[in-house]
Amino acid sequence: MPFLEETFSLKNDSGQTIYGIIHHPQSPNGGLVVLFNIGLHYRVCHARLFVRQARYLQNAGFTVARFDTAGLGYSQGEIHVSRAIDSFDAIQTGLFKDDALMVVNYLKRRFNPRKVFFSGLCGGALTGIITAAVCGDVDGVIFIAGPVTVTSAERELSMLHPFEADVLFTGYLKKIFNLRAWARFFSGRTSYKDLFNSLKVKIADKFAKSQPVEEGVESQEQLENKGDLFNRVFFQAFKRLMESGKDVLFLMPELDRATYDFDKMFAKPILKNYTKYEKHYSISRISRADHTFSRPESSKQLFDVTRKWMLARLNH
Amino acid sequence: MSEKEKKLIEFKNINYPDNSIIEKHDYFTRDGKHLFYAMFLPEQKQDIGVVFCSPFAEEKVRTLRIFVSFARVLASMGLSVFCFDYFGDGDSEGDFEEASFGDRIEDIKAAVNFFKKEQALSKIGLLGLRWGGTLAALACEILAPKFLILWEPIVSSEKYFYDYLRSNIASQMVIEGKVKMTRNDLIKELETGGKVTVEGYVLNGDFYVKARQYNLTERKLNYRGKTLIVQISPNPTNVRPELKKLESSFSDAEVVMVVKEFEWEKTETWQPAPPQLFNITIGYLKKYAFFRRDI
Repeated sequence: MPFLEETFSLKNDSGQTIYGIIHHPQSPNGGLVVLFNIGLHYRVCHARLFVRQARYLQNAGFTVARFDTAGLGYSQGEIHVSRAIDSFDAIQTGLFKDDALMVVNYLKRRFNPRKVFFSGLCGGALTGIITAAVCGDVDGVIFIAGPVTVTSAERELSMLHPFEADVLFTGYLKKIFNLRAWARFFSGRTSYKDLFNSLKVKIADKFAKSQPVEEGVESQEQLENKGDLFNRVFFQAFKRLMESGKDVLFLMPELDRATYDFDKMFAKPILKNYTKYEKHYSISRISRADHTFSRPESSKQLFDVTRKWMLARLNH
Repeated sequence: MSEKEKKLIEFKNINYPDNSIIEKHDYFTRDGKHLFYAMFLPEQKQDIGVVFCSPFAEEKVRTLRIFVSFARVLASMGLSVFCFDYFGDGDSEGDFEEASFGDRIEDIKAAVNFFKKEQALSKIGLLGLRWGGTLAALACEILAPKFLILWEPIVSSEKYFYDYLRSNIASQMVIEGKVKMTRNDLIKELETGGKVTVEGYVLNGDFYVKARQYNLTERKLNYRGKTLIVQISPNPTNVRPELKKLESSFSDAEVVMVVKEFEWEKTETWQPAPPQLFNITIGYLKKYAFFRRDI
């Protein structure tokens, strides 16, 4: 296949140039896919995941675009000096929505696609679903390993996540019949802090009460959307997409804290109330995959699942 | 130097639109392979430009914004800058595991030639970060640039890639729950032509075996131009011995130290324009009159 990739640039409302790449298919199938960048990373994603995914979809006939939102990658604009974590909540509640809308509108005008799909990983999954809810004429959203929580930086940095506690504790459990491990324990070489902290977090998580989402009294903390809380902006976007008959694929890697929160705060307590929309959403789980799908087998599975899902909807 | 000149410029708004800089993104080809580039051109350019050489694998993704910011800084001061992606990396054509060690050196050569021709430049400087510095140092023996700037260069590639394999061990712990292959097993796998995945990047044996051979202090480098080596470390008090040795591998080099203002091994701090690193580099370029006009 010849090299059919093109650079593009657009100016946003602040006069900042936004840069991106378009992958043109040799035989277009009428589908347009927009990939949204992860957190503060630029459009290639970890280990070029988006470059590889874009080329995979391009080979299947999709036109695919990746771009850098303002302040990231090659694009103009500033995200000022801070801890990276300080930007995450803003991203997860729609910081890049306006740039995303601008790029999507440009692509729709230019290619006049039959179907439009959004896909994003982590923070990009949130940009995708939030933008889709505003955009209206999007046919499907692939939400990959997106965090459904909003978390204050201080809380995040001071606490062990239950998923990580689980990984740690399981590691200790596996060594329960290992004499060398016991020798380490009694000679003070075990990290007692890790051991007891993981146990404490696991117990606390087991007995933690889930937050009411749709109704009930909201605390000031919840109203400010801060703390280890369910992301209501995400939830409203999901609800709006379901009510307007749009499709959402949740694609969750097994070995990821985002999946842990997704199940605990969204899939188990909330999705059961949305059975009437069941034909519009589905959950696909990729086993032995981490947050960035770093094993080649995991990323291949991610590409296969996303391509199949979009192709099924293309001619629907 | 006056007090005003000594004052640290912070470059807080360097990424805001600046009409005096023309930015051009496209692809150039090297042996039929399409390589992505981004040019940052001052309105009134001089006949010298700088080519930036990216670090290895995920370090490149984490530090791209530093390159983009510094490209805008230099362009705002009159120097043309060329950022590009190696074959199989970033937005360029190809898969990461397809790219050989030789490809990367050829890519630098092709980038320099393309940039010089496209912008009618007579002189070029090279700047490299981490393993990009190693590649730039090796390429300068062929290209003889006007100056060479190495930001925290990797002196021993063998040690660098040995350390790099540690991430594979960490992944095994998460995915398999235990270490199935030790680092020595992984090296054996690579030495026998196998592939190893680290942080999602597939390393091929041929690349690994060739790349690890390079130790910049093993011999005197055949380059006579001005060279700035910047040691970037959390608490810089003394120049590390390997950088002292590297200094003496060049004919005309100096080592300076700056505090580490950003990370390449993780993304905890968002620092798109590290002021100390930028100021010290600009100071060096000014000292040797590589700018036509001043800030």
